[in-house]
Amino acid sequence: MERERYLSGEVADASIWMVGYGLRVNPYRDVKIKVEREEMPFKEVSLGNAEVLIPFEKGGVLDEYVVTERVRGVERLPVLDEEIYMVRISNIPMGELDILVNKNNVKGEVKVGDMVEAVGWMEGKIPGGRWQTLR
Amino acid sequence: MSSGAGKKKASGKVPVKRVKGEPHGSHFEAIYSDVDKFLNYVIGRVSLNNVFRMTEQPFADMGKQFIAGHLVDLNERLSIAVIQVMIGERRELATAYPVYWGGDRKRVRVMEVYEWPIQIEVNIAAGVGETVVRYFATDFLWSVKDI
Repeated sequence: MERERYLSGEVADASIWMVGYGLRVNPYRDVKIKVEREEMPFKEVSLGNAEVLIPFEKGGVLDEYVVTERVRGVERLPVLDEEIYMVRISNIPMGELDILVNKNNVKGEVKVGDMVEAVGWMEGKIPGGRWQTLR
Repeated sequence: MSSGAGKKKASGKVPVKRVKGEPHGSHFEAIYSDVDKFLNYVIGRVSLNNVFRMTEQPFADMGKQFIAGHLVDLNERLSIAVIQVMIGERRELATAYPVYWGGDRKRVRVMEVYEWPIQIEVNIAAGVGETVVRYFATDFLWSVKDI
Protein backbone atom coordinates (compact mmCIF):
# COMPACT_ATOMS: atom_id res chain seq x y z
CA MET A 1 0.00 0.00 0.00
CA GLU A 2 2.89 2.33 0.73
CA ARG A 3 5.15 0.82 -1.90
CA GLU A 4 5.70 3.91 -4.00
CA ARG A 5 6.16 6.15 -0.99
CA TYR A 6 8.82 3.86 0.39
CA LEU A 7 10.67 3.45 -2.89
CA SER A 8 10.71 7.16 -3.56
CA GLY A 9 12.84 7.75 -0.47
CA GLU A 10 10.21 10.05 0.89
CA VAL A 11 10.67 12.02 4.07
CA ALA A 12 7.57 11.21 6.07
CA ASP A 13 6.17 10.97 9.54
CA ALA A 14 6.22 7.35 10.63
CA SER A 15 5.14 5.50 13.73
CA ILE A 16 7.80 3.09 14.98
CA TRP A 17 7.30 0.75 17.92
CA MET A 18 8.87 -2.39 19.37
CA VAL A 19 7.21 -5.78 19.87
CA GLY A 20 9.14 -7.17 22.80
CA TYR A 21 10.18 -10.78 23.33
CA GLY A 22 10.89 -9.81 26.92
CA LEU A 23 11.46 -6.92 29.28
CA ARG A 24 13.40 -6.64 32.54
CA VAL A 25 13.05 -3.93 35.19
CA ASN A 26 16.20 -2.28 36.54
CA PRO A 27 18.48 -4.98 35.09
CA TYR A 28 21.73 -3.11 35.66
CA ARG A 29 20.94 -1.20 38.88
CA ASP A 30 23.80 -2.84 40.79
CA VAL A 31 26.17 -3.35 37.89
CA LYS A 32 29.39 -1.33 37.88
CA ILE A 33 32.46 -1.58 35.71
CA LYS A 34 35.95 -0.67 36.86
CA VAL A 35 37.83 2.14 35.17
CA GLU A 36 41.54 1.51 35.14
CA ARG A 37 42.90 4.72 33.72
CA GLU A 38 44.97 7.09 35.80
CA GLU A 39 43.63 10.23 34.14
CA MET A 40 40.04 9.41 35.12
CA PRO A 41 38.86 11.03 38.36
CA PHE A 42 36.67 8.00 39.21
CA LYS A 43 37.37 4.28 39.42
CA GLU A 44 33.91 2.85 38.81
CA VAL A 45 31.06 3.54 36.39
CA SER A 46 27.50 2.51 37.17
CA LEU A 47 25.44 1.05 34.31
CA GLY A 48 22.16 1.52 36.18
CA ASN A 49 21.14 4.56 34.15
CA ALA A 50 22.76 3.65 30.84
CA GLU A 51 20.54 4.37 27.80
CA VAL A 52 21.36 2.26 24.77
CA LEU A 53 19.90 1.11 21.46
CA ILE A 54 21.87 -1.79 20.02
CA PRO A 55 21.05 -3.86 16.91
CA PHE A 56 20.63 -7.52 17.75
CA GLU A 57 21.65 -9.04 14.43
CA LYS A 58 21.91 -12.71 13.62
CA GLY A 59 22.17 -13.57 9.96
CA GLY A 60 19.30 -12.29 7.88
CA VAL A 61 17.44 -10.63 10.71
CA LEU A 62 17.45 -6.89 10.30
CA ASP A 63 15.03 -5.40 12.77
CA GLU A 64 15.85 -6.77 16.23
CA TYR A 65 17.23 -4.53 18.96
CA VAL A 66 18.17 -4.37 22.61
CA VAL A 67 17.09 -1.16 24.24
CA THR A 68 17.58 0.12 27.79
CA GLU A 69 15.80 3.31 28.80
CA ARG A 70 13.70 4.98 31.47
CA VAL A 71 9.94 4.37 31.59
CA ARG A 72 7.69 7.37 30.86
CA GLY A 73 4.36 5.58 30.92
CA VAL A 74 2.68 2.19 31.22
CA GLU A 75 -0.71 1.06 29.89
CA ARG A 76 -2.34 -2.34 30.01
CA LEU A 77 -4.16 -3.69 26.97
CA PRO A 78 -6.26 -6.88 27.01
CA VAL A 79 -5.47 -9.68 24.55
CA LEU A 80 -8.01 -12.49 24.98
CA ASP A 81 -7.56 -13.52 28.65
CA GLU A 82 -4.04 -12.10 28.96
CA GLU A 83 -2.52 -8.63 29.13
CA ILE A 84 -0.11 -6.70 26.94
CA TYR A 85 1.91 -3.94 28.55
CA MET A 86 2.47 -0.83 26.46
CA VAL A 87 5.63 0.58 28.00
CA ARG A 88 6.59 4.03 26.71
CA ILE A 89 10.25 4.90 27.07
CA SER A 90 12.28 7.91 26.11
CA ASN A 91 15.21 6.78 24.04
CA ILE A 92 18.37 8.46 22.89
CA PRO A 93 18.58 8.83 19.90
CA MET A 94 15.06 7.76 18.81
CA GLY A 95 12.90 9.81 21.14
CA GLU A 96 9.77 8.24 22.58
CA LEU A 97 9.27 4.57 21.79
CA ASP A 98 6.35 2.30 22.73
CA ILE A 99 7.22 -1.28 23.62
CA LEU A 100 4.44 -3.90 23.44
CA VAL A 101 5.21 -6.91 25.61
CA ASN A 102 3.10 -9.71 27.08
CA LYS A 103 2.82 -9.41 30.86
CA ASN A 104 4.09 -13.00 31.17
CA ASN A 105 7.35 -11.97 29.51
CA VAL A 106 8.06 -9.12 31.95
CA LYS A 107 10.47 -9.65 34.84
CA GLY A 108 9.63 -7.25 37.66
CA GLU A 109 6.89 -4.67 38.20
CA VAL A 110 7.11 -1.89 35.64
CA LYS A 111 6.59 1.64 36.99
CA VAL A 112 7.13 5.11 35.62
CA GLY A 113 10.71 6.16 36.36
CA ASP A 114 12.17 2.64 36.32
CA MET A 115 14.97 1.70 33.97
CA VAL A 116 14.06 -1.22 31.72
CA GLU A 117 15.79 -3.43 29.19
CA ALA A 118 13.76 -4.86 26.33
CA VAL A 119 14.64 -7.19 23.47
CA GLY A 120 12.36 -7.28 20.46
CA TRP A 121 11.81 -6.32 16.87
CA MET A 122 10.95 -2.91 15.51
CA GLU A 123 7.78 -2.42 13.52
CA GLY A 124 6.49 0.70 11.86
CA LYS A 125 4.18 2.31 9.38
CA ILE A 126 3.73 5.64 7.73
CA PRO A 127 0.65 7.05 9.47
CA GLY A 128 -2.48 7.62 7.53
CA GLY A 129 -5.04 6.57 10.07
CA ARG A 130 -6.41 3.14 10.67
CA TRP A 131 -6.75 1.09 7.51
CA GLN A 132 -10.26 0.89 6.17
CA THR A 133 -12.12 -2.40 6.26
CA LEU A 134 -15.71 -3.19 5.43
CA ARG A 135 -16.61 -3.27 9.13
CA MET B 1 25.56 5.34 13.08
CA SER B 2 24.86 8.52 11.23
CA SER B 3 23.37 9.93 8.05
CA GLY B 4 20.06 10.89 9.68
CA ALA B 5 16.76 11.89 8.14
CA GLY B 6 18.02 14.96 6.37
CA LYS B 7 20.04 13.48 3.52
CA LYS B 8 18.51 12.46 0.20
CA LYS B 9 19.91 10.06 -2.36
CA ALA B 10 20.84 11.78 -5.59
CA SER B 11 18.75 9.35 -7.67
CA GLY B 12 15.69 9.77 -5.47
CA LYS B 13 15.16 6.01 -5.73
CA VAL B 14 15.59 3.74 -2.74
CA PRO B 15 17.61 0.56 -3.39
CA VAL B 16 15.77 -2.71 -2.83
CA LYS B 17 17.81 -5.63 -1.50
CA ARG B 18 16.77 -9.22 -0.87
CA VAL B 19 17.18 -10.39 2.73
CA LYS B 20 19.92 -13.01 2.88
CA GLY B 21 19.60 -15.82 5.39
CA GLU B 22 16.50 -16.54 7.41
CA PRO B 23 14.16 -13.70 8.34
CA HIS B 24 12.70 -14.12 11.80
CA GLY B 25 9.36 -15.83 12.34
CA SER B 26 6.12 -14.40 13.62
CA HIS B 27 6.97 -14.91 17.29
CA PHE B 28 3.37 -14.71 18.44
CA GLU B 29 4.47 -15.77 21.92
CA ALA B 30 5.46 -12.10 22.26
CA ILE B 31 1.74 -11.29 22.06
CA TYR B 32 0.07 -14.31 23.67
CA SER B 33 1.44 -17.29 25.62
CA ASP B 34 -0.44 -20.09 23.85
CA VAL B 35 0.43 -19.67 20.17
CA ASP B 36 -1.91 -22.42 18.90
CA LYS B 37 -4.88 -20.99 20.80
CA PHE B 38 -3.99 -17.50 19.61
CA LEU B 39 -3.71 -18.49 15.96
CA ASN B 40 -6.99 -20.39 16.13
CA TYR B 41 -8.63 -17.27 17.54
CA VAL B 42 -7.14 -14.99 14.88
CA ILE B 43 -7.69 -17.27 11.88
CA GLY B 44 -11.25 -17.92 13.05
CA ARG B 45 -12.02 -14.23 12.75
CA VAL B 46 -10.76 -13.75 9.21
CA SER B 47 -13.66 -12.80 6.98
CA LEU B 48 -14.64 -10.61 4.07
CA ASN B 49 -15.72 -7.97 6.59
CA ASN B 50 -12.16 -7.30 7.73
CA VAL B 51 -10.39 -7.19 4.37
CA PHE B 52 -8.20 -4.10 4.12
CA ARG B 53 -6.42 -4.96 0.89
CA MET B 54 -6.88 -7.20 -2.15
CA THR B 55 -4.16 -7.16 -4.72
CA GLU B 56 -2.29 -9.20 -7.29
CA GLN B 57 1.45 -9.21 -6.88
CA PRO B 58 4.67 -11.26 -6.95
CA PHE B 59 4.73 -13.84 -4.19
CA ALA B 60 7.62 -16.05 -3.06
CA ASP B 61 9.15 -16.32 -6.53
CA MET B 62 5.92 -17.99 -7.78
CA GLY B 63 4.90 -15.11 -10.00
CA LYS B 64 1.87 -12.93 -9.46
CA GLN B 65 -0.71 -14.31 -7.05
CA PHE B 66 -3.91 -12.98 -5.55
CA ILE B 67 -3.29 -11.60 -2.06
CA ALA B 68 -5.90 -10.67 0.55
CA GLY B 69 -5.01 -8.76 3.70
CA HIS B 70 -7.30 -8.90 6.75
CA LEU B 71 -7.26 -7.01 10.04
CA VAL B 72 -8.29 -8.88 13.19
CA ASP B 73 -8.64 -6.54 16.16
CA LEU B 74 -7.31 -7.68 19.55
CA ASN B 75 -8.24 -4.44 21.31
CA GLU B 76 -8.66 -0.78 20.35
CA ARG B 77 -4.88 -0.29 19.88
CA LEU B 78 -3.63 -3.59 18.53
CA SER B 79 -4.61 -5.73 15.54
CA ILE B 80 -3.18 -8.69 13.71
CA ALA B 81 -2.75 -8.36 9.96
CA VAL B 82 -3.47 -11.72 8.35
CA ILE B 83 -2.28 -12.08 4.77
CA GLN B 84 -3.69 -14.88 2.67
CA VAL B 85 -2.59 -15.97 -0.80
CA MET B 86 -4.77 -17.69 -3.37
CA ILE B 87 -2.76 -20.29 -5.27
CA GLY B 88 -5.05 -21.78 -7.85
CA GLU B 89 -8.13 -22.90 -5.91
CA ARG B 90 -6.27 -23.02 -2.61
CA ARG B 91 -6.34 -20.25 -0.02
CA GLU B 92 -3.30 -20.31 2.25
CA LEU B 93 -1.98 -18.29 5.15
CA ALA B 94 1.00 -16.33 3.82
CA THR B 95 1.96 -14.39 6.92
CA ALA B 96 0.56 -12.56 9.93
CA TYR B 97 1.96 -9.82 12.13
CA PRO B 98 0.85 -7.31 14.79
CA VAL B 99 -0.10 -3.76 13.86
CA TYR B 100 -0.18 -1.09 16.57
CA TRP B 101 -2.45 1.92 16.18
CA GLY B 102 -0.35 4.22 18.31
CA GLY B 103 3.23 5.20 18.79
CA ASP B 104 5.16 8.41 18.62
CA ARG B 105 5.39 9.91 15.14
CA LYS B 106 8.91 10.48 13.93
CA ARG B 107 10.23 12.26 10.88
CA VAL B 108 12.07 9.62 8.85
CA ARG B 109 13.80 9.33 5.51
CA VAL B 110 13.51 5.92 3.84
CA MET B 111 17.03 4.87 2.87
CA GLU B 112 16.91 1.17 1.95
CA VAL B 113 14.28 -1.51 1.46
CA TYR B 114 15.10 -5.15 2.33
CA GLU B 115 12.67 -7.54 0.66
CA TRP B 116 12.00 -10.83 2.38
CA PRO B 117 11.98 -13.99 0.21
CA ILE B 118 8.18 -14.06 0.46
CA GLN B 119 8.22 -10.74 -1.47
CA ILE B 120 5.28 -9.21 0.38
CA GLU B 121 7.23 -8.32 3.51
CA VAL B 122 10.07 -5.85 3.84
CA ASN B 123 12.33 -4.21 6.35
CA ILE B 124 13.02 -0.53 6.01
CA ALA B 125 16.24 1.25 6.92
CA ALA B 126 15.17 4.74 7.87
CA GLY B 127 17.09 7.74 9.04
CA VAL B 128 15.62 8.93 12.33
CA GLY B 129 17.27 11.99 13.80
CA GLU B 130 20.96 11.27 13.92
CA THR B 131 20.69 7.49 13.62
CA VAL B 132 19.37 4.77 11.34
CA VAL B 133 16.71 2.33 12.49
CA ARG B 134 15.60 -0.80 10.68
CA TYR B 135 11.97 -1.77 11.10
CA PHE B 136 9.43 -4.22 9.71
CA ALA B 137 7.04 -2.17 7.58
CA THR B 138 3.53 -3.25 8.52
CA ASP B 139 2.03 -1.05 5.79
CA PHE B 140 4.20 -2.33 2.97
CA LEU B 141 2.07 -4.70 1.02
CA TRP B 142 4.10 -5.15 -2.13
CA SER B 143 1.26 -4.15 -4.36
CA VAL B 144 0.98 -3.18 -7.96
CA LYS B 145 -2.74 -2.51 -8.01
CA ASP B 146 -5.97 -3.01 -6.18
CA ILE B 147 -8.47 -5.54 -7.40
